[in-house]
Amino acid sequence: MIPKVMTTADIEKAFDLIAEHVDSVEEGKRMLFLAKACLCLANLVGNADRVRDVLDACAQDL
Amino acid sequence: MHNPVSEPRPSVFYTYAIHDPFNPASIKGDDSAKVVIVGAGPIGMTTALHLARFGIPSVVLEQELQVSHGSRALALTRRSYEILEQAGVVDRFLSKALPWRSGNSFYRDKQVFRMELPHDDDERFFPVTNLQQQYIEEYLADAIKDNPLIELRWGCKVTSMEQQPDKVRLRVDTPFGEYTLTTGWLIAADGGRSAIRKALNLRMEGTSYVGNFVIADIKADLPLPTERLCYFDPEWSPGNNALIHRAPDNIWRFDFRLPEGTTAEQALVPAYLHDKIERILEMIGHPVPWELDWATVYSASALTLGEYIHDRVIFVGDAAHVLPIFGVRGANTGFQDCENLAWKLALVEKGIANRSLLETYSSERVRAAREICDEAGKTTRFMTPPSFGFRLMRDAVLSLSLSQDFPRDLLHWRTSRPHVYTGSPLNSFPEDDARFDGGVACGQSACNVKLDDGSYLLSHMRAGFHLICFSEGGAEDQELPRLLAAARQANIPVVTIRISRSSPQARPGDADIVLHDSNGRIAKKYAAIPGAAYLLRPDLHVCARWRQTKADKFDAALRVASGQNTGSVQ
Repeated sequence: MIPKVMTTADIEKAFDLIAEHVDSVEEGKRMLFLAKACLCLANLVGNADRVRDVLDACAQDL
Repeated sequence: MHNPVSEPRPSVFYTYAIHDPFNPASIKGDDSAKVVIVGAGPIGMTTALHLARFGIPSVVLEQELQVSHGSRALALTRRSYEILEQAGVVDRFLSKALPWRSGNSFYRDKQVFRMELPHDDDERFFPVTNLQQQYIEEYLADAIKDNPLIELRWGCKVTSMEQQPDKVRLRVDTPFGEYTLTTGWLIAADGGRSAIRKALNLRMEGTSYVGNFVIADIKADLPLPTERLCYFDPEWSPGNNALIHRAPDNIWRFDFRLPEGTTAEQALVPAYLHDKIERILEMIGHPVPWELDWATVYSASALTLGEYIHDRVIFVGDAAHVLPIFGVRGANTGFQDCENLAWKLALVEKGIANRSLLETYSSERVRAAREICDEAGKTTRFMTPPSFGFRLMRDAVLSLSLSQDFPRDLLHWRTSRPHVYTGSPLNSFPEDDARFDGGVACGQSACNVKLDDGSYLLSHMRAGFHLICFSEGGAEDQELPRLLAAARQANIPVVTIRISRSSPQARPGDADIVLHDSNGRIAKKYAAIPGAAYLLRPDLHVCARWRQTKADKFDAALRVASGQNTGSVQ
């Protein structure tokens, strides 16, 4: 389980920002945009094992 | 009847010499050799030269009558130059080759990565030096011609081989007919498509990568420095990449990935090749006249045999492993094979060491190849992504690198470096090794140092083990005569070197070589206090070191490192 470390308000803010940015990127570039975002956020998380946990969690229930 | 090409190969910069084919009529009686090396490429010939250093004669069989068609090898590392220096051939290389240490990667017309390979005044050789394989082979063949222990037979193709107890029997075809040659050891240096490997039905392990690349060597007058240039996702070939290297004689190597679906045959059609070379010249802003020298198509593989010694057959170089071109790993890995093998085979052949020493050639070099396969694989999957996910992340890194620093190191192509034989059964006294604060650890290759007289430490090394003693005339000197005497009394050659800051004058009964370390540079690089000692294997890798030592410890370490004692030594 990914621990909740942000306030609900901040998570909601991040939710809005990601959605708005995905919408603003041209359709054929959205995958690339999300890959860049993942790599930048992984760098800020600063721990490859935690990145793996996040990716494993995201791969569930698609 | 074997009929090698007897016309000089075409080239716009290199004049091929045709060598006389070997005539078996010159053989009187049974033809046999202690060692036969199949393949007079850079690795086969360097193996012969290194064996000769240790007094082992060899016969080198080459099926062609001239040196390499085109240049597969080009960039040799510092470590390779150190190995060529030991073989006694390096000066000629230096007079022709182009040294370099920098690389630039570009994406969308912007430089996104620049790397400077480490280099300082203590190094005799640059991190990388470019020289075409034709010159490499010519210089080695000339050195062999002058070496009475080596016979290079041109126009000799091995047609069959049979392993017998303690020997290998070869049938060899020549333009004059076949003959039989028997040898105690067969060294297969016959390249990536090794016929010897196929004859033994040996399979390689590892990964072959998708994607074809073209190498096109052109002659052109380009005003660019000797550096590695890499262009990702060029406009003329979206999603692919192109590399540029400079070589002597105004030769430039263009290396580019083919779009998916383009075959090797299509890529080598002159009109296709012409168009791509023009586009690369346009991309770099120098649309100058050019002539094509040679072109070929390759795909990246990271493959190795799991065992390099099969009874009396020993594999070296590309015959043993096929490695990706990225990171200059092909020939540079092979040179380390020859250096590792030669002294071990010599000690076994002379009956000083048992076969277990030779087995460490295989264990050490297979381990090195596996590590290189793993590392080269990381570079290769960036250059030629094998799947949607890897391509997406490669593109993400490139896109981010235009504005962000943090992912730029992922553009590093991980250049070949000397292997470290950590954990080798030839190392001993690990606790003493751990007592050093830095220096050159067990398993590492000895580092170079520029001496007061302008020479370099490694240039003083000879054929044999080396015992390096740091001595300043204090209490530590009491043990020194016993150490030097033990080295002299050893049943294998041990060259002794005394390094001193304060007392460089040779004394009665002194070491074979006395080096003045006036400003303590050697001591600093080796983290050595007075009384410290290093034992180097003949391939110049450290196998034991002590901050303070005694003659019996040296004796024990030498026995371990020379395969005369298989027990562990603490």
